Amino acid sequence: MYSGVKIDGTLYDVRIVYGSIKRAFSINEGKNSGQSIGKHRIRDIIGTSYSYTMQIEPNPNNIAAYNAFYEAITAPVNRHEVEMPYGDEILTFEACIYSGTDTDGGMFANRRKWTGLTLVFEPYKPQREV
Amino acid sequence: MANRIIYDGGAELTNATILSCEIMRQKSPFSDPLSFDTVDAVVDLGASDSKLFDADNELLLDADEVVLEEAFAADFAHYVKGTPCEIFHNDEFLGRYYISQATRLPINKWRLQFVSALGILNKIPYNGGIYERVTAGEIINAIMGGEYISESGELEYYEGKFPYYLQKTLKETLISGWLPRYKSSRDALHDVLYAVGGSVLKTSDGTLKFTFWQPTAVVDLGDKARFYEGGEVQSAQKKTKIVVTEHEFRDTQYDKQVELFDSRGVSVANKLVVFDNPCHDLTSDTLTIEESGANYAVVSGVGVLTGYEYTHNTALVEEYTGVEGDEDVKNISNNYLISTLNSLNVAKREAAFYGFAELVNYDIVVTGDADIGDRVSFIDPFGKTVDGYIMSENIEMSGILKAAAQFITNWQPNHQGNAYNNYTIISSGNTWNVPVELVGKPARIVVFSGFEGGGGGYDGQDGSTAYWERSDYGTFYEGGQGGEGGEGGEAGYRVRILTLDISALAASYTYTLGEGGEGGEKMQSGQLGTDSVFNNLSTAYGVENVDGWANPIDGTIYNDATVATKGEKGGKGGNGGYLQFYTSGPSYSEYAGNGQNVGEKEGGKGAKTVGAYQTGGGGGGATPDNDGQDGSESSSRYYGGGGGDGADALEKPQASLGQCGKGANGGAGGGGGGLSGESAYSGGFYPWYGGPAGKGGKSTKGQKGSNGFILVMRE
Repeated sequence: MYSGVKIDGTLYDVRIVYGSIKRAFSINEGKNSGQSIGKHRIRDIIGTSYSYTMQIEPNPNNIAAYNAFYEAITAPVNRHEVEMPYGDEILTFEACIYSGTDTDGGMFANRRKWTGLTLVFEPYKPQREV
Repeated sequence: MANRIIYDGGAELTNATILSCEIMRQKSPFSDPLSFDTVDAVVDLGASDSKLFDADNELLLDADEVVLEEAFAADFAHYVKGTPCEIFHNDEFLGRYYISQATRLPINKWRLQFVSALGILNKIPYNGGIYERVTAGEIINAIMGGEYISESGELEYYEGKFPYYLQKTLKETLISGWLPRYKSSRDALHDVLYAVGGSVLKTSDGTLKFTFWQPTAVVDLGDKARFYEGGEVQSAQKKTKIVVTEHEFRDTQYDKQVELFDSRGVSVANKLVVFDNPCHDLTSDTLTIEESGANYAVVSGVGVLTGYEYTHNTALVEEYTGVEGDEDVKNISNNYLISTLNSLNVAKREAAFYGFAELVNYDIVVTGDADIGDRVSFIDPFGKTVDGYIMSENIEMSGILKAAAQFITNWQPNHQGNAYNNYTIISSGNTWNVPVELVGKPARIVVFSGFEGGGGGYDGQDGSTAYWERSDYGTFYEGGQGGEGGEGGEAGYRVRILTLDISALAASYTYTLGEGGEGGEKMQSGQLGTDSVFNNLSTAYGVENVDGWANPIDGTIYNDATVATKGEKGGKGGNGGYLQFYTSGPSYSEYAGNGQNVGEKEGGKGAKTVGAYQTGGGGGGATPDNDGQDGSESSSRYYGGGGGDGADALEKPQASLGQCGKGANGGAGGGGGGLSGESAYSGGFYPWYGGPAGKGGKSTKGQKGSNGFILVMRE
C-alpha cells in the first residue's frame, strides 16, 4: 500500500486503489529500424521505457489534497517528475500525462467527492538508454 | 551515451541533446570532384535533460562559472568558423569536423553544420603557378602550408593548416603545367591529385592522408542482416571514348607581350591583379610590383603592367573504354596539370570507370568495421556477393548508425602516378630490340628528323691604307682604318617531329635516322635535315617545330634557340697609327690601335711608332676561335707599319644531339696600315707612304645540324 503519490517533489495525500498499479515496458526503437534483405528485423534500439497506470481516490479525510493533486496533474506543463515503484525500489523519472477522467461522486460531509480517477504516466524519455 | 559531439575539445553534447545528426562521408574514384564530408546536426539546449549534470545532479559550469548550456549557446551564437568538433557513436570515432555554420531555431535549438578539413580548404584561395617537373609533394605542401614533422614507413607527417600524412610515392611524382589561381585551395588540390591519380583518405584518427589509393585487405561486411531492404545497382555512366587534353607551358622567345593592368591614371595601393593566362617577365614603367606570380601581381602606384604569356601547347590522348554503341565521348580538357607525363594514365583511369564500373546504392548498418575507400565484400541487393569499395555513406545517427551507402564494384584503383618516368634515346643503328621488361608496355615515341644546319658567316673586311688632309690648323694624317668584322651566320631553327603513342610495345622496330642539315656556305642559309622513319612512319608527316621541344621527364630542350645561336661577329681591326703636324710641332700616336678582342680571344696588338714619325700598323681583330695578328712596325722612313690580318673563324663540328646548327662566326677585320711622315721644309710637312693594310679574316660554312634521333618515353 502506498501512502500518497509524489509528484514534482510533493507528496499528495491521495489513495491509490489497491491492485490498480500496472507497469508496462516497451523497447523503444529509433528511425533507423527497418527490415533487412534477409527479412531480418533491423532494430534501432534507443532505450527501454516504463509506464505506469493507476487509479486514484481521494482520502475522505483530506479532500483538499485530492483537489491539489488534481490541479498538479492537470497543469499545462510538459512533464512531471514522479516516483513509482520499481521492484523493491523507487523509480524516479519524468513522466508525461496526457489525459484522465474522474467522476463526480456527490457531496460528502459538505465536500464534493470525485472518484474513479485513472492516470497513465508515460515516460518523457526512456528510463534506460543504450 | 550512444552519440556524442565534443565541441572545441571541451564539454560534450550528448545523446538526449542531439535531436538529429546526419554525417555525409564520401570520396570519388579519382578525386573528381574532390569531395569533403559534411555534418548536419540539430541539438536542443533547452531540454531539461540536455543540461549537463554532475554526479550530484547539479548543473555543470564551465571554467568561467557559466552554466554549460548557456556556454554552448554563447559559443554557437558567436561561433568561429573552423572550430573543431569530434563525433562519436558509443566509443567509435566517426570523424573530426569543423563548424561552418550555426543557426538558432525556436526555442533553444541549434542547427550545427560542420565540414571536414577539405571543406575548410574550400574557402582558402591559392595562387597557383607554372610548374616544371616539380614534385606533387611540393605543391601539396605549399597548398596545405605543411611543415615536415616525422615519418613512418611510406608516410610522412606534416602539420600545416591541418595535420596530414603524405605518401612518399605520391610525393615524389613529377608534375608540370599550370595551376590557375583558385579561390579554393580544394580546387587546387583537386587539379594536382586528379592529374597524378592521388586520393585523399583518412587515418583511423581522422587525419587527412594524401596517397595513391592502395587496395586494402577485403573486409567482409557480413551477412544479409545488416543490409536494409531496397537498394539498386547502376552502371557508371557509360562512355565509348575518353579524350584527354595534355598541356605544355613554356617560356619561349615567341611569347606574346600583353597588357595586364592599366591604372588609368589612378593611384592604386596593393592592388591584386589576376591574369587570364599565366605570364612571366612582368614589367611596368612606373607601377611598383609588390608581389607576383604566374597568375597574379600585387601592384601599387600609377601605370601599366605588362607581361608575356607563356606559350601553351596542347595535344590529345584518346582511350577507348570498350563500350560499344553510338559514340559518346568524355572530354577532359581543363586540368592544366595534365601533361605528357600523366595524360595516358588519366585517360586509362577514366576509361576504366566509364567502361564497366558499377555503383551499388544501398542502406546499411554502419558498425565501424570498414571506412570510406576500404575494399569490402558484401551481398548486393540481389543476393550476390560482390567485391568493391565504399565510396560514400550518408549516416543518420540514432541507436544504430544507418547509412545510405554507395559502393563501386567491377573496378579497381588503377593507373596512378605518371605513365612515363624514364626515357631511352636511340641515335644510331636501324633496329630497336625492345627490352623484355618493356614489351607490352605503353610508350610514347618521339621521332626527330635531322636538324637544320646553321648559316654561313661573312668574311671580315680588310683594313684600309692611310690618308691625309690639310686644314688651317695643320695637316692631319690618319693611319689606315681597321676593317669591320664579318657578321655571323644565322642559326638553324627547324626540325620535324612525329609523335606516336604505342599502347603495347612489340619486340622490335626498324627505323632510319635522318641526316642533319649541312651548314650553309658563306652568306648562305643552312639546309634542312632529312626525315627519320620509325616503323615505316616518317617525320615528313610530323609537325615542324621552331620553338624547341622540352623533354617532359628531365627538361632537356631540343632545338633550343639558346644553344643553336647566330654566329658571332668578328672583331674589328685596329686603326693604324696617326700623325698630326702643327706649326708648333708634331703630334702622333705612340702605338697603333689594337684589334678587338672577342671573348677570350685577343685582337692583334697595334705596333709602336718608331724613328721620326713612322707609325705602326693596327692589330687584326679576333674571332671567338682565333687571336688577331699584331700590326707591324715601320721598317723604313718611307713606309708606315703594316696592319695585322684579322683572325679567321673556324668551322664548327656537327651540332650536339638534338640541336640545330649554329651560324658560323664572322671573320675578323684586318688592321689598318700605319703612316710615315717627316718635316720636309720650314712650316711644311711631307707624308711618305702608308703601310699595307691587314687582310680581313675568313668566315666558314655554318654548323651542321644534329642527326635525327628517337626518344622513347616509357615506364
